[in-house]
Amino acid sequence: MASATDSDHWTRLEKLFYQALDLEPTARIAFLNQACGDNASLRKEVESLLKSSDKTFSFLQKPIEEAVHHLNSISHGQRVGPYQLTGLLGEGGMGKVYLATRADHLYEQEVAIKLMHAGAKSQGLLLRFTTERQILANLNHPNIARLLDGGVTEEESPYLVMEYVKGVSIDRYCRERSLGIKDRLQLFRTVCTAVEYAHKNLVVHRDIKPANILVTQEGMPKLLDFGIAKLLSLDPDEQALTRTTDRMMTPEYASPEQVRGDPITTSTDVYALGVLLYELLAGKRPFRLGTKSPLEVVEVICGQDPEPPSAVTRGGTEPDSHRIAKEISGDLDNIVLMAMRKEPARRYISVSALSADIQAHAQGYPVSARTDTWAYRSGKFMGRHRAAVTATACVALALVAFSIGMGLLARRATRERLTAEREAQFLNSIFQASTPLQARGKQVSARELLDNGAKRIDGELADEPVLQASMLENIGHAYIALGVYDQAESLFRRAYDLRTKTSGRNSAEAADSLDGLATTLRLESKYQQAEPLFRQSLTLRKKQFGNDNALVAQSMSNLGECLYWESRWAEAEPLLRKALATKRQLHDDSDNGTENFLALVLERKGDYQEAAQLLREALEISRRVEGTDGPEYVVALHNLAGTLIDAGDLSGAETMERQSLEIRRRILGEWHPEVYYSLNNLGWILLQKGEWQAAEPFLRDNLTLVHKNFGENSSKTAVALKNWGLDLQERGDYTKAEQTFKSALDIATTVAGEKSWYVARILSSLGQLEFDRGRYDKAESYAGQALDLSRQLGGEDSPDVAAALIDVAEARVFQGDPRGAESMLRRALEIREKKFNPGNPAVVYAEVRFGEDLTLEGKPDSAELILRNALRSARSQPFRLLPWQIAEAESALGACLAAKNRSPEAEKLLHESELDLKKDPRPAFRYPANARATLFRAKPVPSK
Amino acid sequence: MSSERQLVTQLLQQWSGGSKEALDELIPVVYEQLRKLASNCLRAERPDHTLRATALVHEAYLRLVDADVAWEDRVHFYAVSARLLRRILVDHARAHNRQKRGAGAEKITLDEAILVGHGADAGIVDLDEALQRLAKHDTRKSEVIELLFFGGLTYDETAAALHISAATVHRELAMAKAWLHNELSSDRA
Repeated sequence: MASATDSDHWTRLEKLFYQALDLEPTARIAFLNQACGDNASLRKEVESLLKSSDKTFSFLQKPIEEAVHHLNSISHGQRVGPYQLTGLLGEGGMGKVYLATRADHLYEQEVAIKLMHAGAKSQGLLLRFTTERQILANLNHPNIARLLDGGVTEEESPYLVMEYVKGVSIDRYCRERSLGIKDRLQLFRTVCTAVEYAHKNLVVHRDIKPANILVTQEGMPKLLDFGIAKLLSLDPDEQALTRTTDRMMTPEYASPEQVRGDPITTSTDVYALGVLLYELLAGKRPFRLGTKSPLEVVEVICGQDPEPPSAVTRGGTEPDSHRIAKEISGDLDNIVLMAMRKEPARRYISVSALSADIQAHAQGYPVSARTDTWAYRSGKFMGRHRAAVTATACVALALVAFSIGMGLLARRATRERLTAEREAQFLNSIFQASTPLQARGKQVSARELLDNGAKRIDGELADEPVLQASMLENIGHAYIALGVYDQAESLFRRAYDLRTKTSGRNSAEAADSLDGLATTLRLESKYQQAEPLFRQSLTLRKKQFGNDNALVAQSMSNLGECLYWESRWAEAEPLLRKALATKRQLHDDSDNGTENFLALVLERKGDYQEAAQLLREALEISRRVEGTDGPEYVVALHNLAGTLIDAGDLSGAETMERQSLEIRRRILGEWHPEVYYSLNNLGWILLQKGEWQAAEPFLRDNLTLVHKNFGENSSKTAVALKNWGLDLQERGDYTKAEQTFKSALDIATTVAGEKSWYVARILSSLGQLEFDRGRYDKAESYAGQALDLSRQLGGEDSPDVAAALIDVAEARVFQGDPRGAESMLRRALEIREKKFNPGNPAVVYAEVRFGEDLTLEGKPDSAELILRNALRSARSQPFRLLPWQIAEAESALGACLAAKNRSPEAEKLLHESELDLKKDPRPAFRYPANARATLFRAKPVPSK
Repeated sequence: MSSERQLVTQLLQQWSGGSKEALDELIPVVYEQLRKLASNCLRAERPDHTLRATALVHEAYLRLVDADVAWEDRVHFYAVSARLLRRILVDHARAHNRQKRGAGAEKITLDEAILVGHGADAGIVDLDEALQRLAKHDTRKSEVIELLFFGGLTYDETAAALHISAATVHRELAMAKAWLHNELSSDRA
């Protein structure tokens, strides 16, 4: 409430205003002279009110109309792809940014969607969208807001989906929290790590400014819109017409090369970071361009030197501005101005060099930046002592990892300084080639950028083998990220050759190259080739670094993973356990591969609980490190879906696998090799649920994908074919199913060997097919082979053994030998009871089969006990069992009771079973069900 | 006649008759209607249609109140709608400002930046805050603005709604406008 004096003042003001208003303007001065006397402030107030009284109402109407328009401009609930728009975040020249959530409620996530105006579309833009999106989506850094998705709406407007960051712009954050210089520098350096990371991944931001750097509540800065400026630039034809449209930038942060339309490189981001640091230190931007014409803007940016930030601060009105100015002047002034130099070549050579200089300043070491004039005067000295002057910068650069984790990090630390500098230059020059000027108006895709860089390595770096090898590896890793494994393989092979020559066969560098090569081979499913290389790399690293080292752990983990794929689980387990122990000891959270593969090995053994626990940890680690849309997260998600399958919760598994497929397709692209895992398992889950129609498109895509990526002969092709065969089988096309299984078997035998898990699985599928066809002798023979193999691979107690035992036993029962089946079924039930929780569908299944067998043997009393238990479990699971799973228990108990002449209850159960079975969509399911019914209609086999 | 319309008309009459509870009941119905209209209107209308706040209130009135309702009740409806619409617009803008990524998530081309310059107009939130400050000095002045600009009432209707003369409305408006103008321009400095 207004105080009494306020209210007096207001009454007086009001009275004077109305009185004066009624007067002719000329008479007002005399009136106010008299009425206000020497109260100058009151007079000023009245005068100002009078002056405003002839304004039109538009200043009131406009904000209201704009707000109405705003409210209206998105229709709440409008959908873009799978997202539902919920609010408008901002508006710009190319389109609007909306807040959105996923419309299908697959999982709750708020995202920001950048939707282009319909007019912004063009063929070139659409095409570039799909290609560039992938490399941007691979930017995976805690301080970079992820590009999650993108696509084209029904109206053909392109859109991008980005991680939605709740935070305030970095300048506001510093202001509102009154951060001191030290904290501001700290925050700025964190921003630098993100930009560095992107540069090493061949992505330049092009539009760094405070509005694009949000700081979260927890003080975590996040860069938005990485590479988006390039993604959104118009296509070359249009550029030729209107060059300015390509310059999507904010003039205050634009570098001279940007306003001139010259090539944009990593130096452009160094400049913008300089402007940002300027603003964070001085509280003002170096140039104010608000009312200037385009020509003047170019003149200022290209020709005018900014005042040192300390000078601006010194002139400030803040109480401690003098103290702050003192803190900034000298080193920090020099650092900012060096980053902001007009000529790209005279700025810091890289973002890490800039960051390292700030670090040096903070720790009291001399910095490499000097005032411009000093640098000019000392030009000769610089020429002679260049390495010495930039030493600080280079050491820091040498410490930076290129695109992937720990492995390279350790190697960089020992890298020669000069090489690191040259590496930065070469990277820069790759960018140069991609700018429109150099590419002669042709836009360059991520893939072309890499191809181009790879080609130039030989020509330009022929005399510098160390650098050449390093660049080969860098680009090799980038190819892996894009899923282009054959290219990666050839680069790593050449890198390894060079490493053996430059650093020696037993060097750490050679071990790195080997590891990269082996990883590529593993990704190509060439496990037998990969394994010896992983072993070699592990041996070399152990010699170099001892046992408790992150690289050694990584090598062990890689070897363990490879052995897993070779079905050599017993050898894989100790390696993975050791690797995990070391990683935990070193607090290495960089990836979750070790947890994932140890879990898979444990699953094969049937240690489901420990496996699930590990996978939950893996999921949590990746969620913490990269959020819920990263490549590691999705691996853990996929594997967790596997544990749900083991627990019998197929619907739960389906939900998770759909999610993993969706994320993988989105971040990796539709035909990326890794998409295989999700497609394959989702198809399989749907088949298990009896939804073969739903499974078909996924399994079909899966076949296309494996052929495209792995060719005709790979274990993945065999698995994809096997699952395709299962689909054919469900459809009742037994002939084609058999052919398909046999092709799969041939491939699996060739690539994985006769004694592999793949062969075992395909044999058991063949057996089940023959069973469905009623050829029980053949079914028994296939199941018997699968049983032998499973015993050799996973030991007597493995889940695969239990499954194969049941298959063999069933074939016996249907050949009229329930007595011969009994011991096998008993054994299978024992294994499953030991491995699974009570009530797990796998246990229920074994109980049903065992109970049926006992009934047929004429032991309905023992059967009843087991079958009642089975039905109780089937009906009381925490998740819903499939109709056929319940139906089988009902029908088995019904048959058992019928044998005991308890007709009413038996009929009731058999009727319920029929109802449940009708819910099963599989036409093929009718056959074995009918066969079973026939079997039980016949008299129980008399005991011999 | 829809039951909603019957209800709203009845509530309006009860409110005019002095029932506070009727107003409490009325508010959510009108609020919801306005919100719905505001977010759906453009899709139904021609694309070149500029939507005015006053048109929204009018539309809500047509949908919610009987045609033959007393003039006084109509004024009351407009008055309550004006307040609600103001709240809707400000809440919406606030929510967006909260979500907005810093000052300008938008990218602008060089040409645009120069054309637009820095003299952007005050937004709805600034206006709302200025109106709140004005209400502290003088509630009636802020109400005049609200009824005229958010509710689209005529001067006579505004006068009736506030139980003052039309001449007073004009005087209040003159000072309110001048004061708000100064407030909003100094905000920008």
